[in-house]
Amino acid sequence: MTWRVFSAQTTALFLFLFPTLAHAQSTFAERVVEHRLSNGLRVLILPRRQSPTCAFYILHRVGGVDEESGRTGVTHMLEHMLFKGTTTIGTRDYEKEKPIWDQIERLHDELEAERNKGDKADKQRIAELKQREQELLQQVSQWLIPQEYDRIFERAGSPGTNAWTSNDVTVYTVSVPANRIELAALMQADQMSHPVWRQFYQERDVVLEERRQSVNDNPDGALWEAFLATAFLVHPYRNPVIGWESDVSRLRTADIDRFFRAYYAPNNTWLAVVGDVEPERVIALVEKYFGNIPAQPLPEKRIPEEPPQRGVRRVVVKMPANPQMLMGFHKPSAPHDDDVVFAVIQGILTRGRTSRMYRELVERQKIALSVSAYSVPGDRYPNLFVIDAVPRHPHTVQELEQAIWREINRLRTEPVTEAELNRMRRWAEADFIRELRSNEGMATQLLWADAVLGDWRELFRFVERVRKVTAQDVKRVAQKYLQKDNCTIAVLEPAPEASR
Amino acid sequence: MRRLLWIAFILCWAVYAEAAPPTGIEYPPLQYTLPKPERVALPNGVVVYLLEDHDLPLVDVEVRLRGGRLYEPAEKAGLSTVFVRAWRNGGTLARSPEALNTAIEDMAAILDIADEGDTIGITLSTLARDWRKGLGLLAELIRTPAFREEQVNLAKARAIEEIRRRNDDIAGIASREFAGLVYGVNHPLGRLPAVQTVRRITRRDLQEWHRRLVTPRNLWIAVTGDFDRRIMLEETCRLFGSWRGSLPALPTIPMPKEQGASTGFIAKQAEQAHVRVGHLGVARGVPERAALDVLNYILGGSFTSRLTQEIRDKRGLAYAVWSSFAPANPRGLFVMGCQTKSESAEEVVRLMKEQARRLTEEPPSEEELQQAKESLINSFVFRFPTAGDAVSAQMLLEIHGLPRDTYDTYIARVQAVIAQDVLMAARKYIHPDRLLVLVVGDGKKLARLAAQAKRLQAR
Repeated sequence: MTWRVFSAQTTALFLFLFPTLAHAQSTFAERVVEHRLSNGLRVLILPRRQSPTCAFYILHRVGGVDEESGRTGVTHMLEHMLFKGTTTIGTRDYEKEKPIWDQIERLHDELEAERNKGDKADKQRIAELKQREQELLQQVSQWLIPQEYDRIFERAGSPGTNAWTSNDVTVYTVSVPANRIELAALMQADQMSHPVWRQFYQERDVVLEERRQSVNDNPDGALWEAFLATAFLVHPYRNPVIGWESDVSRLRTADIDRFFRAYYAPNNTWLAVVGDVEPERVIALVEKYFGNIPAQPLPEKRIPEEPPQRGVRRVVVKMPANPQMLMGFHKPSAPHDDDVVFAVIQGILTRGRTSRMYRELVERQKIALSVSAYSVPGDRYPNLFVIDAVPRHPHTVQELEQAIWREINRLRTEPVTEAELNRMRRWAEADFIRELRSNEGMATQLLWADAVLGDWRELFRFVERVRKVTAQDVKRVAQKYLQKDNCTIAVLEPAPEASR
Repeated sequence: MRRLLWIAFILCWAVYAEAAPPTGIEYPPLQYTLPKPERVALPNGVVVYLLEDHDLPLVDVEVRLRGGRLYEPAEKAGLSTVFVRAWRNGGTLARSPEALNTAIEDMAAILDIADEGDTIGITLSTLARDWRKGLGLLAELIRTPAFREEQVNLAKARAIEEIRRRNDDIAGIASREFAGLVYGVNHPLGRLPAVQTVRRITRRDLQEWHRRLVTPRNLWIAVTGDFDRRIMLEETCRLFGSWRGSLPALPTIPMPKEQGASTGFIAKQAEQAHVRVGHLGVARGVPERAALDVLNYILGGSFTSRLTQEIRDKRGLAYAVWSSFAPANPRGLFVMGCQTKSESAEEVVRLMKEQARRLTEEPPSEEELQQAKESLINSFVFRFPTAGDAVSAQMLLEIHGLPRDTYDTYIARVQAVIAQDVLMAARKYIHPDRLLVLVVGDGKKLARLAAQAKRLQAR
């Protein structure tokens, strides 16, 4: 996932949410109100009276997987641009600023043409064009009201607006004091229907900085990028959500405009409102502000299917940092039955101080600093079960890999114990209850389950499904997927510091 | 037993007009009551804060004591980190680590001990049906930890591995070394654990540290959730009330020295430069706290701040740029921070210095002031997302020796801030002629800056 602020390398935060105590489960299910506008926009409301606040979250079912080759990063770039205001927010007079943005756009046509000449580019001409752009930006600034979108929300008491883009979806998040729900509806509807691509090229620089920070200078990010590009040969899960650097640096407003028009349709949009709200009033407000956005046909997609892997794949990334490793196995994604079994396997292997890998690799053999596991990088298409391990000096990633294979072989040959399965069932209940503590967590869960898995009820069906997982299931799934020929291994190798 | 705090606290938001646009929306007034726990002091000195909250079938316990890395001896730097881990993982006199972990995790409970700087926090979260068992295990671990040798060695080895790895993360280097620059590398807030200081730590040190710190006179317990307060109190008294102990012995922390302006540079292979600009900040509980919150919001504490506008929006120089005036014991940091491509580092330093100076030269505009105040006031309902957060925060006020009504008066204090207060606070707490600068980045691309700076090494 790539966030507007503070990038977080994806760990499958949402994937291991399983339900619950029967009571909380049924009250939860009864309290969710569903509604669909005539333009196709789907609304999920969960009233909770804990505090006078509410989360107002919007999901568009478009992510990195929907991008075309050469334009990776466009989904994330579009997400950044939606905070630049609309025809009425962020501007003193849109009609006055528009012609200046058009001039800047034509200037970038010329800049791009010049840059495309590579070594033969006229440096003098590029400098002139850049100078001219600065003049135009100066000129247009008199019409702008900087950060007005954020200003309005912060002033209303919102602890901050944000958004994130993943391989699967784009989500816009805002929380407001409960009495400001109408403001949230008005602002979010305006944002998704009348955005203006102002200051695009400065924002593109911001995103390139984000990329330097989260990938180029970040050992975890760099390893992650190489790992996915190796595990997936053809499926777009191989591409980084933030985009390849050369793609991002060449994105134009026309690219995001086309993408916006294709995918930000109400019939491709989910809305979750969780908090101290009256469902009838929320529905009335959503009808009022989102109801007249027209539905439209969605683009036909041809997303290549990942062929079966035939043999272990290895990739090495060298950076001035200490070693670490990722091991990934292709598997089906939620809500497939085998994905539920993987949630159980994940817990048995790495969750808590009683887990197998913690006790064996961290405590007994003392070869690992840490071991964790999760499913990534999305759920719309088959994904990967990943084991993420950090060796403890002087032990090597090779030793660690051997030890991990030994644990995997145990899963493939011996049944897990009933005590282990029971612990996972208990965790499932408790996780679900703890997740209910936060409006924001629930809004995210509801959106993800409904838009990606097809039904928000999957959230609490999961409990029954975890309860039914048997030792036999674990063995079967381990034998089927956790094999060497289905494995990709990425290793970070230390390189000497280049800078002095 | 005494009931101390029981003041309902109701706020009305309707007084605030909305900035235009959008106009024409009427907001109903919002009522918010800060959850108020009951405070009970046991005869042996343990203080218990309780609040029933039946929204979800959960119970949360947070135990705090004064202590933490601020107080550890210099020659054994890292002791507190090793201490909290070996304490949590080393089992109890009656139970092996494995038995304790199995008991906790079989209930899907969570039990952790964390070093919070100048306090230590022990947290327990259980399903409501399991709270008695969970609280019993918590008390056992607090009163009779075993610090088993094997787990002490593991905690030391982990601390050493973390030292080996800490400079892999450039942002981490910038934060640690900036603290070193501001406080001095020998001050508890500026120094770092080293492999040799961690190696010196023994099991006996940890047991001795536990004996010194963990006494009923140094223990506060916050309990929130789905329980009956009478039964909970009885059980808490039973587990913690019979315990006797003396006052904790904590060393006095020297006041860090103010320093003159300087620039430090650390070479690290990277595309971006990490920039920190600032100096010593404030202690907890300074009278200008509300004005400083307004000031920080305007400078770099929000998406609409001056630093975000100048560095991110106008110039596209950074993804993240921020400022902080967080208080600490004995003094916090005033710091502005940013990551930017190497070529822009000098410009960012200049812009940050300029913005710091500007705050001391002129009051903020009325528009900026209103924006900041309304945001701080209206977002107060988000400050404590759960009842447990509100209870812990109010307990911490007592531990830190701050007025118990700090949160009750917060909105009124922010409301009272005028532009002149922000200017006065800036003149008192920001010193443009004493700003310390630290840049971590590529020595070749930053050659000019590096040539003028003091060369430092990441420790």
